[in-house]
Amino acid sequence: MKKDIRDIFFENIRDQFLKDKKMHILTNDADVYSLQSIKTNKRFIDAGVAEQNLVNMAAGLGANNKKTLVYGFCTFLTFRCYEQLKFNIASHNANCKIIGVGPGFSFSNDGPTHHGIQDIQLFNLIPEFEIINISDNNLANIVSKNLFKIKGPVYVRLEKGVQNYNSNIIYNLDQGFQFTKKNKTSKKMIITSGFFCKIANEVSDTKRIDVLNLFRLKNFNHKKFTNICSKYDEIVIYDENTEYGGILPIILNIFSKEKLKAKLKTLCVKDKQYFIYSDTRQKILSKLKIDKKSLEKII
Amino acid sequence: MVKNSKKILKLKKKIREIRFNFLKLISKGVKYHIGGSLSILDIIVCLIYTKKIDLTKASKTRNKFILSKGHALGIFYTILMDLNLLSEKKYFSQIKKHKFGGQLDTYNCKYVDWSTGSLGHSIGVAIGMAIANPNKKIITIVGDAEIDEGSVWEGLFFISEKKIKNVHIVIDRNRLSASSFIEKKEVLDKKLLDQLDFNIFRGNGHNLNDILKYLKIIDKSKSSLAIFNTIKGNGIPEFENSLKYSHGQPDKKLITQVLKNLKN
Repeated sequence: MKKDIRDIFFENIRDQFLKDKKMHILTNDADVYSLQSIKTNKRFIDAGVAEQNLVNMAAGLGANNKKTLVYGFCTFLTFRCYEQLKFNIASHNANCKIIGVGPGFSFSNDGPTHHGIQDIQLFNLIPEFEIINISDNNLANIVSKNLFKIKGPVYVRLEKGVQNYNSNIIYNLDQGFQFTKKNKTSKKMIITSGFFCKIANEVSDTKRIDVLNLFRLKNFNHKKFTNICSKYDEIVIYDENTEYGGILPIILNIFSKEKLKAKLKTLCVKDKQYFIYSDTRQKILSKLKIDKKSLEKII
Repeated sequence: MVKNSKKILKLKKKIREIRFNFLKLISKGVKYHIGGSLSILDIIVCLIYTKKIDLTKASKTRNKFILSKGHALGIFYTILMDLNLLSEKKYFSQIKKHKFGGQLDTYNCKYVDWSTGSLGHSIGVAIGMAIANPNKKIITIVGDAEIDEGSVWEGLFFISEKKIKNVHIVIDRNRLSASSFIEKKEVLDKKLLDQLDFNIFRGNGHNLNDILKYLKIIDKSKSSLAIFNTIKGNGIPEFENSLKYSHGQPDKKLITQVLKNLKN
């Protein structure tokens, strides 16, 4: 599938929308190519850049037995309307799926307002929200086809561009994680999520280290995850988010609870808002020393 | 009158120069939102070259400026270079060092009074600046799509109710958001804003007489709100009212042709 990951995701959503009259799609003036044909549909609502109102409308629709999908930039669909998400969506357990586009440094030239490197933890703090971090085209296809099978509010982070790797992986949504690289004898493993899975896979090819893609960040199979982690001597947590804003606190919590003994190394963004800009994501990752080279160094 | 015509001729010349130099940056591969930058070009040139915002003075001693629609920053940098406040060498070196990009911030450019990038924040920040600097004017340029943000309205009501006297808001009514045409905007079209305690001004954002008239209103001791009708991509037919060039970049052939046309 040489399509942009957003097209794969939103084409599936569009097909469901056309079949399911209970479904509403809402946005804050965000443009998605695959949804252009349904923009004039009454169940498609562009609220303009008014995220608080946008999320409240989704809650109101949810209270009346409607399914809602809200999409926009991940930074603005989180920080801008946080209380509305916590109270009106989550505490009322609305069947609302929030799709955050532009995670990590994918919009590299737009500075800290557009760098999505803390949004995961914001949703982690809201008990009712499930979080899914989509890494590749294959996973985007599976998640978008099954999204409304997950009950209650869900936050999905969606990459951009053609993420045409991991196409042979058989993802299990209930399990919530999957090995994307596995060697028979390796005692070292990288745990990663989202776009960084691609980089971790590349490093694994030369360093013979296993890679576990953790894509469901709350209700994944903790028991199996713990069991897997206990078999490794060294685990590297590799994340494009800040050390407090991404997957690190989630994994550390399990390590602490389960008293796991593997040696832990972490490579993620420092707890800082970066006023840096670049025409490519790669240059930012390199500047922050979280790129492929840095990962190779730490292993 | 003669004096004013001379002033207008001078400003028109400057607008042409800044437009050309801005597009030259695009031709060198720098990415900016062309449409929304050119829609405010005339207004921003008038604000700065009439010294309503005098960037040659230290920030502490002059009126403040917040470019709320921060993605129009390319024009601001072009002006800084034109005023010899920033050299082209330094500009490109800042880009190379990842310090200049698609948003303005106070950390990497001392002429920037406030970092922007998220929409709808500037009016509240301007109120704070206005309270802290009662003898200075705080001027902000806001996009017409941006006024959907609730925080814009919280700020407007506060200024009106509390009689804040020195905040001046320019709305760039270019009728195009990031993703769609916004021809209809009831809060602007139905004159709801006229109920608020502001000096309200409506004009053409590409007519220098209108802009200069508004600059006189800024001198008054009351906050003002100007709604300027503008054209996204103004001055370049290929970019005018174009969704594609609202934030998309032209290819090398097109930008070369545009520059050639401008030169002629």
